[in-house]
Amino acid sequence: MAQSVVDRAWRPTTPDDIEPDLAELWRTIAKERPIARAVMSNLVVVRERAAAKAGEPLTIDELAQDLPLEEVVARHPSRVILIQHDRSQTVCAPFAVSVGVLTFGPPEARYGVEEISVQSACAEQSLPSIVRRLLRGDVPTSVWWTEDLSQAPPLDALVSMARQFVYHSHDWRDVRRGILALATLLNTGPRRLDLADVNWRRLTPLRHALLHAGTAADLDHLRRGNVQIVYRAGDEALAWLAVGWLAARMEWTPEATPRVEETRHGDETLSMAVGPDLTAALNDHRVLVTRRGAAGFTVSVPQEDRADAVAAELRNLGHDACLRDALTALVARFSR
Amino acid sequence: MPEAPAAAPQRTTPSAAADSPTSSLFEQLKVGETLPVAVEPASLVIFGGAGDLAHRKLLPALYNLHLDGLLPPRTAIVGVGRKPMTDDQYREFAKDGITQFSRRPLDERAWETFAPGLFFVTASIDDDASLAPLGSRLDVIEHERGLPGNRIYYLAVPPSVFVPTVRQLHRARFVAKGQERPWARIIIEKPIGNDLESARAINDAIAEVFDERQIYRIDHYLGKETVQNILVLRFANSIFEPLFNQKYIDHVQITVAETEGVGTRAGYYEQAGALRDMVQNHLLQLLTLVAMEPPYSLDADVVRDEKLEVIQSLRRIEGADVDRFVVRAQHGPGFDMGRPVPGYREEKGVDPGSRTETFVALQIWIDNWRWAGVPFVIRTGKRMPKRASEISIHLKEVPPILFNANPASKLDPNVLSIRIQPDEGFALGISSKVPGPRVRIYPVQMDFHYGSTFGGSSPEAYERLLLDVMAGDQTLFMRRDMVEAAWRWVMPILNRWAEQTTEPLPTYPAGEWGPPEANRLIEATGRKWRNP
Repeated sequence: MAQSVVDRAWRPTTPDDIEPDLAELWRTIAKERPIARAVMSNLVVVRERAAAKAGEPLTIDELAQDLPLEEVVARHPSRVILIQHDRSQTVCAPFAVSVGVLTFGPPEARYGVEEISVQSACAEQSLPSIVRRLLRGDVPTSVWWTEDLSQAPPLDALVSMARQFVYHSHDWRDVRRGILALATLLNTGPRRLDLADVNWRRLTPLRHALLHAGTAADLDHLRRGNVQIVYRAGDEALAWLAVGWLAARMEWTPEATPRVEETRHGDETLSMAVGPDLTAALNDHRVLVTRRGAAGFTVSVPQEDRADAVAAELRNLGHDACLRDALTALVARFSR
Repeated sequence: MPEAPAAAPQRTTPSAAADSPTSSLFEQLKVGETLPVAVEPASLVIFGGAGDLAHRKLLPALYNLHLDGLLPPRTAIVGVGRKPMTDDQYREFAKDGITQFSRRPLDERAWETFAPGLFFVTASIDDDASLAPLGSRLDVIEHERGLPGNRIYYLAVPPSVFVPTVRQLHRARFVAKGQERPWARIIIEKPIGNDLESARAINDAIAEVFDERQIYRIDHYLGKETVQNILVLRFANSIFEPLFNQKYIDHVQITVAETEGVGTRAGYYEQAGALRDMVQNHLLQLLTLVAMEPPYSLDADVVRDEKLEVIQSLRRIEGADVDRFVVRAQHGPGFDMGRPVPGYREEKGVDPGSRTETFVALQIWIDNWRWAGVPFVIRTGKRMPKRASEISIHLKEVPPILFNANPASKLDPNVLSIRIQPDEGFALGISSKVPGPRVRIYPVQMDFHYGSTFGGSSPEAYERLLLDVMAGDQTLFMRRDMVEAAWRWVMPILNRWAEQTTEPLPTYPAGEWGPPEANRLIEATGRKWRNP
């Protein structure tokens, strides 16, 4: 079970004093009690937030609002670099910088995680110079894109520093634009970029269920795209991820057109019907697989909150071939 | 260098032992004492005493030694400069420097005991009589403070003044070659020359006056805690040394990155460039510490002999190989922490058509048994994304079977990284299984930080180095043969560049890790830079 934060030491600083002030914070904390410095990765979190007034800093709580940042780093200790980026401004230089150490764990096993928050009205071209300064080279760098990719596409220069790009397609208002925004990330050439969609994790139980439920008769329907997907309002991206996965695995041609529909009724997150006989229905607790004339079965859905899911993705550095193939298929479909 | 363990024969300070024909009370009482306590008092005469180096580094370092009780009692610190200044004014100057630049805040009570040891003498080296006021003043100070006449001359002056100053010291009879008691020592700062010829000329001139064991050529990098720790890491831990060879090491990277531009040093830097300013000294010194054979003792000359052998084993990069294995570049305009900064050619004092390199990257081979086939890739530059100096030792990959079988998810090779600045320490990257039913592997760090482990701030390099000069320990200082061997190695590169007056110079935007050519240099070997 993840630890709760037991202490926060914060101080405002200047861009040039970030590292010395962090070192001083660590020394101060270490004087009070033994503490281990925990860092598994650089976690760059970008928040696109316009300041109420140009140059006016947000509080750290405002900056991290609706974001389970402490819970994530309790599970996956990282050097957090929290950037508030305001695209509407063209003036350079960060206008508010603070550093902090969050302490977790019981007294006999305390560990600390450092956090740097930079609020900047920097132009896109100058923002990378801030992040580049703050990254530690000896651990992997993950960019956690907390904004809606369909509205705020990622900054190439930031992504180029990352080994992993974490996002949540559930937040997308426009699935097609979100998928197309990922197109460039799928083709980074020889440079390795691991994509991690937190939403994709939610589809895992359904994929498992279909693996176990499918028969030779279903295969024909699947190959022809004879599939109907009904999703709960707000879960369109999840539905399209399922389409992408099937399109990649079944090698669908453009003619294969599954029906994808939204419903405002029922408590199923997503239901998939394959041909006339097979149905798999996903909700928050289970996948229920039913087949006409045969006994159904269920697959349990792991219970995890958003922090659990993000931390799990951060720990899971690696090439997710299924996700990548699904996204590639969707990019091809939406590009037509 | 580290103190010898208690069971080992007690280490003596080499020069102090050689300096001591008489049996004084001091000599008798220092038996068995550790190094800092056994330092003889002396006068430290700083030429350029009112300059920037003294203000920012030397005086704060001496103050911190005083705070720690390491500065020998009665030590006199005598600043020398052209500008008229009273002792009291000099004390104010020192106080200001300490207030601004000391790693620990000024303590008024400690200051009251430190300040009386500060003096200033207005003098020049323009003619034979010009040092006379300094001589008479030193005699008085030493008499009043009961000092035995030991003197350290610190040349905190431009390199062009090294030789005239030394010659004046000789003419004015401040020093006799090989003088043992009272002893005289001289400290000079880099750059020692601008090329091999000029380095030899400086060394020859100093050697006319001082014996080699009286000469302390400072490379302040060697005084940094983590640099000193390289030898401890290698030779005090049985886990690492067996791995430090071509069987296990894939390659070694050294990055020394600065965020600053040329600042107020344009006059010097235009003539120097990154290769002369950083590689010929700092980076090659770091490389020698990583690559040297185990010395049979910690005696200064034994350690320096081993380091020299590394320099002598470096494969020369000559002719067209310079274009292949060396990348130079100049920074253009860009950003530093979001703020726009000018390109090098737009800096004050820089020729708008300058071809001086602000960045250099090299691929180096050490042609000896231990390192055959292991590339050492080093780079340094100005206006880079962060101020950081790091050595990273990349071990070979595990075979492409078992956990490393999937080419799409290759394991990160183990890397031992030594952070020299900031946040001194080292880390070892290892692969570990992520908890859970599946075998997923994550690169984790075993990380050591000086700051949080030992608490307090590490001594500044100058503190250690000044103390070593007082103690007569030359281990952390560059010997003449090493300086000249390093110049001999870089000369073919400088000569090649001197021939290339029209080829376009690669550029990189300020705030980035160098030009694309530097990436291609390392990527051609199937590797990539590790950014600190």
